Amino acid sequence: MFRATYLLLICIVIIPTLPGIIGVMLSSFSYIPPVGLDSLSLQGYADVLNWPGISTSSLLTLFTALTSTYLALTICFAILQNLWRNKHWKRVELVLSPLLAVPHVAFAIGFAFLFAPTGLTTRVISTLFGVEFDDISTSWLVHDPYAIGLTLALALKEVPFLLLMSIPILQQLEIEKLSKVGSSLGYSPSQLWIKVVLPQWLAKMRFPLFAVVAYASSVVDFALILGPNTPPTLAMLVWQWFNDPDLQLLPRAASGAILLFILTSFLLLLVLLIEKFATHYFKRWQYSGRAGISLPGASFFGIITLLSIAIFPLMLIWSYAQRWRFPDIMPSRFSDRFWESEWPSFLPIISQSIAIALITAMVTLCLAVLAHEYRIKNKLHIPGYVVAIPMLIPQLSILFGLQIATLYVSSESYYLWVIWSHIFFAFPFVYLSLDGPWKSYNQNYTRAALSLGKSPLQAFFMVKSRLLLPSILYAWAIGASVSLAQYLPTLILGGGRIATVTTEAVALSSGFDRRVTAIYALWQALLPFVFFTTAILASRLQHKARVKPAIYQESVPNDATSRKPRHP
Amino acid sequence: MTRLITLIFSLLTVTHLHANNSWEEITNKADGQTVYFHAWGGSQEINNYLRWANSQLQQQHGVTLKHVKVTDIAETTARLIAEKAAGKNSGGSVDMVWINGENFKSMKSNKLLFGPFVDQLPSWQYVDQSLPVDSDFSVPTDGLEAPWGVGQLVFIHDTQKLNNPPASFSELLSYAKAYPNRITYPKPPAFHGTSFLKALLIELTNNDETLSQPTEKVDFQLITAPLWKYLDELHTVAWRKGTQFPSGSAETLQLLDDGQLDLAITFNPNAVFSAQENGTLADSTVAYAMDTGALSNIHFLAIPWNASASEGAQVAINFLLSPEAQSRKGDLKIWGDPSVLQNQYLTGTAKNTQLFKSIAEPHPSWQVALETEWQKRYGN
Amino acid sequence: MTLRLENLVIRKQSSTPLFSPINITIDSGEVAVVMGPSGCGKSTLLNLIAGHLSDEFNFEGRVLLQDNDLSYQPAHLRHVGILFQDDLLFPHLNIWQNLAFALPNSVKGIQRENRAIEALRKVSLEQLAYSYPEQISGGQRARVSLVRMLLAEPLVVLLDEPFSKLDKDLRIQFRQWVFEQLSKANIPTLLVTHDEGDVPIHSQLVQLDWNITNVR
Repeated sequence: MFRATYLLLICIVIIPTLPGIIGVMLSSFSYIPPVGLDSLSLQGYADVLNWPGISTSSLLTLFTALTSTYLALTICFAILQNLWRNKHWKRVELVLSPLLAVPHVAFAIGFAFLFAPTGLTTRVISTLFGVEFDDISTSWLVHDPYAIGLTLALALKEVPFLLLMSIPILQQLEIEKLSKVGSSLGYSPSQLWIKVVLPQWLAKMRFPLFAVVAYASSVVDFALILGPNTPPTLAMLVWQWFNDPDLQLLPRAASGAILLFILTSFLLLLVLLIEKFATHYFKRWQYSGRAGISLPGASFFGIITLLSIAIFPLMLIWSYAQRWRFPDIMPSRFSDRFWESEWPSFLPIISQSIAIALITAMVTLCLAVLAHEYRIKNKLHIPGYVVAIPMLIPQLSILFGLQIATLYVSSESYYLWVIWSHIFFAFPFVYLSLDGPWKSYNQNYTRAALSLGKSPLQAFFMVKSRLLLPSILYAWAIGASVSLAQYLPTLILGGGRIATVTTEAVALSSGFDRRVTAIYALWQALLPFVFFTTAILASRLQHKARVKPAIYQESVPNDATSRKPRHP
Repeated sequence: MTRLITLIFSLLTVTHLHANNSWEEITNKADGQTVYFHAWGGSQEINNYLRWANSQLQQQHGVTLKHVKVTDIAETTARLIAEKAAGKNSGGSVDMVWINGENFKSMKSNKLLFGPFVDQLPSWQYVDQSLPVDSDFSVPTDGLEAPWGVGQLVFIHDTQKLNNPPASFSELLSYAKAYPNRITYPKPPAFHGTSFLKALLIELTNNDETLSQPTEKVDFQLITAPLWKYLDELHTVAWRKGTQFPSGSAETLQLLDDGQLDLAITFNPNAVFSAQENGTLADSTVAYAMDTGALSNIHFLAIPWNASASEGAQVAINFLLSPEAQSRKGDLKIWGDPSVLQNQYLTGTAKNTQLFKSIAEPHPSWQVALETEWQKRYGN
Repeated sequence: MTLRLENLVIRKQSSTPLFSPINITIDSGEVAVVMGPSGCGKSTLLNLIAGHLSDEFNFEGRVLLQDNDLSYQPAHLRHVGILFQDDLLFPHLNIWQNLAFALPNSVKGIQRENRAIEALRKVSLEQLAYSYPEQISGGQRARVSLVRMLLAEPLVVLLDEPFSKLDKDLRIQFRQWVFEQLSKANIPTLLVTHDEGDVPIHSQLVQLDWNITNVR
C-alpha cells in the first residue's frame, strides 16, 4: 500500500520531468505533429542561431546569472561575517522569514517603483537637490540595456535564501571553537572568517548556489518587469518565441529552450569549477598568513531589510494616488476609486489564488511527508538530487514539452493541469524543507510508541507529526507560497483562463497604470504572509495546549535549522 | 390575387416570426453561459467598461462576460490555430475576440470564425451603414465580425509644455532634431508601433495606391526606402537614442505624464478625457491628428468557430452594439471610444464625438511586412 | 617573558566572585597549574587571559605579559597560545597546511611549506605532512595541534584540560611529550585541570579558593 502510494508520488512529481524534456527535444528538431510538423530537421536551431542579437542575449543571461549569484554570495558572507551570533543576530533570524516570504514579482515591482527613471528615488533627489532629470539618455536600473538593475535586484532578493541555507552549515562548523583557535593563532575575527570559514562554507553552499544561479538564468517574470528589452535576456527571448502567433516557428522556441538548458548547465558547471578552484586547487591563500577585510555586513543587511519593507508603504500610497506627477514626492490628489473599481474583479482572483495554493500546499505536504517516511524504511528511494531537478532546470524548458503534451491530450481540465504543475514545482521546496527536521528527529520516540502497542500509522499521527508540527506547518506555508508565486505554469497550462494574483500583477506591470499594479502587487506580497502567520499561530496554539513541554525541547518552534525553504 | 398576397404576407410573417424565434432560442441558450472574451488588457478604462458590461449582461441576460486580458490578440490566434490543428472543433477555450486587420485576415483565411451571424443581431439595425463596417482593412467581413468602435491614430500633448505640436511627420522629424530625447513611438510589433509606421509610410509616399495592394505584388524595398531613411534619422534624436522603445500606447501616456516625452500616441481620439478623469494625464492635455488626417479603422468583435458559448457570445455582442452600451462606451468620462451607431440612437457625451479627418488603412499584408523589416533593422 | 595575574577577580554579573582574588607570576619555561572541580570556572579564567571573556562576566585586576597590560587588548593580538581538549585542526586543510596557517606573516611563499614540514620533522611526524586530519589517529592529531600552536610563536601558553579526552596510555605519553616541547620553547605555561595526575614535577601549584556556590 505504502509502495503503491510511493509509485503514485513518483508519477506525479518525478516522472513528468521526462516528457517535459523529451517534448522540448523533439520539438526543437521540428517534430510537432499537432501543428503539422512531421519530419525532423534542424531548422529550429538554425533560426535560433540566425536571430540577430542571440549572442548578446546569451551573454546577458550569463552575465546576470553569474554576477547576481556571486554578488548575493558576497553580501551574504558579509552579513554572516559581521553579525553571526552576536547581539544583533537574533534580529537577523527574526527578519529572515518575512524577507524570504516576499514574492519575487512583488519585490521586482517595488524595486521598479523605487528605482525607475521616474521612481521614488529620482523624485526625492530631484525635489531635495534640484537635479534635473530630463535628459537621461538611457535608463539606469529598470529595463536598462546592460541588465544592471535586473542583476542588482536579483542579488538583493537571493541574499535571504543564501543566509537561511548558511545557518545549518555554520552551526556544523562550530564557529565559537574556530574563533578561539583562530585568535590564539593571531587571526582577527574577520581574518578568520575569510581564511578558515569561507573555504569550508563555500564548499557546503554548492547546492544553494546551484539553485540561485539556475533561477537567475531562467527567470521570466522578474526579467519582464526589470530586464532589458532590446535585446532581452535569453529566457525572455524564448518566452517571446513561445508566444509567436506563427506556430510553424515553434521549433525555434523549443530550440531556444534547449539552448537555455545548455546555458544553465554550463553555469552550474562554472559554479562548481569556481568553488573547486577557490577551495581546492588554489589553496595557497588559505594558509598564506593573516590577511583579510571586514565587509560592511550590517549595512548590507540593513539596506536589504529597508528595501523590502519600503515596498509596502510605497505600493499602498500608489494605490490611492489620483494624481502623482513627477517629480512630486507625494501624490497631489488621492482617491479610493481604484480599490473600488478593482475590487469586484479582484476578489475572485484572490480567492482563486488562495484556493489553488491551499490545494497545492495540502497535496504537496502529504506527498513530501510520504516521501520522507518511505526513505526511512527503504534503501531504494529517490535520491535528493533527483527531487531537486525541477529547481535546477529552466521552467520554460519543461513547460514547453508539457504544453505540447496537452495539445495531444486536448482536455478542458485547465484547473487540474495548473494545480498539478504547481504541485510539481512546489514539491522540491517542501521536500527539502522537511529534510532537516526529519533527519534530526529522534527515532526512539516512534520506537517507544510502537513498543507501547501503537500501529505505525498511530505512532506517526500521535507522536511524530505532533513533535514535528511546527516544521510541517512551515513546510505547508512554503508549499502555498511557492504556488502563489507561480507565473509561467499558470499562464501556459491554464490556457489563459486561470488568473492568479501573480499573473495579473505581471500583466498589469506592463500596463502602466501604477495604481492598479500597486494593488495587485500588494496583495501578491501579503498573501504568503497570511499563510506563514497561520502556520506560526497554529504551532503556537499547539504548543500552549501541550502538557509536557520537556519533550518539545528537542524541536524548538523557531529553530532555524528546521527551516530550509528557498524563496517563493 | 388576394390569395397570393395573403400567401406572401403569411410567408413573410412566418419568416419574421421564425427569425425572432431564432434570436429567442439563442437568448435562452445563452442564459447561464460564461463567455471568455479575449481582448487587449492594457487600458484600465477598457477593463472597467467591460466590467460594467459584465454586470449588465448578468442582470439582463444571465450571461457572464469574462475578460481575458491579452497583450496582443495574436496570442489568441495562435491558440486557435493550435486547437484547429488538434481537431478541437467544439468546446474551445475562446468564445469571443476583439480583432481587426491582419488578425482578422489570418482568422478568416484559416477558417477560424463562427458565422456569419452579424445580420441576425437585433442591434444591427442601429449601426451606421455609411461607415466602412463591412470591410476590414479592405478585406470583406462577410458578416463574420461585428463592428464595435472607431479607431483613429492620434497624438497627445500637454498644452502647458508644448503649444504648437508638429502637424506632419516631416515636421515631427524637425521637432525631434531641435529637441532630442523627447520623441518616440511604441516598439513594433506592438499594435500602435506598427500603426505609427503605417501612418508614416502613407505620408512619405503621399498615400500611394500601391499601399492598398498586397505586398507580394509590389516592390516592397523600393516603396519603403524613404520610411527606413526617415527612421534612421529619427532614431539618432529619439528618446533614449532609439535603443529603447516604450512597449505600447499606455507606456507613452505614462512617459508623457512623467515629463519624459512630448508626444504620446493612441488609437482612441477621446483618450485624453477618460485619462484625465482617471488621473493618468494632466488636465492640460489635448489630442490632435496630423493635418493630412488620422489613420482610421473600425475594430470588430468576432466568435471562434469552436466557441463553447457561441450563443452567449452573440448575446454579448448584441448588447455591446446596443445604444445603451455604445453610449456608455463613447462617454468621455468612461472610455470615449467613438461609436459605430447612427447618431440619433446615442445619448450623452457620446453623441457629440467629433472624428478627425480619416485616412484608410493599407492592405493588411503591409502590417507583417513592416514589422519583420523593422525587427531586422532595429530589433537588437 | 613573564605572565602575571594581579588581584584578578571574575564575577558573574556583579554577584559573588568565582574565586578569591588571585596573584600568580609565571616565568619563562615555568609551568603553573590551576586545579579545581568541574564547572567551577577554570575555563572562564583561561577565557579571560585569552581575551574571550563572555558578556555575562566582568572582572577586576590585571593580566600582565612582561609588563604589558593585556586586560583590554583584542584576543588575536595577545600572542596567547591555547591547547584545547579537541585538537581543532581544520578539516579542509592537510597537516602541513594546517601548520603553515599558523606561521607568522613574515614567512612567505614556498618557505611556509618548508617550515611546516621542518617543524613536523623535528617531532618525527613528517610522514603525516600530506594527510588530512581525519586520516590520522587522535594521538597524532593532538601532537600536530601543539606543533601548530607553537609555530604561531606565542608568548604564553594556556592548556585547557588538553589531556582529558585521551585514553589512559595515550594520556601519559602525550602529557610527557607536551611538557618536553614546552620546556624547549621556554614559554610561561598555565595548565588548568581537574586531574592531579596531570601536574608535572617542578611546577607551581596554585590552589584557588573557588567559590563553590558558583558551581553549576
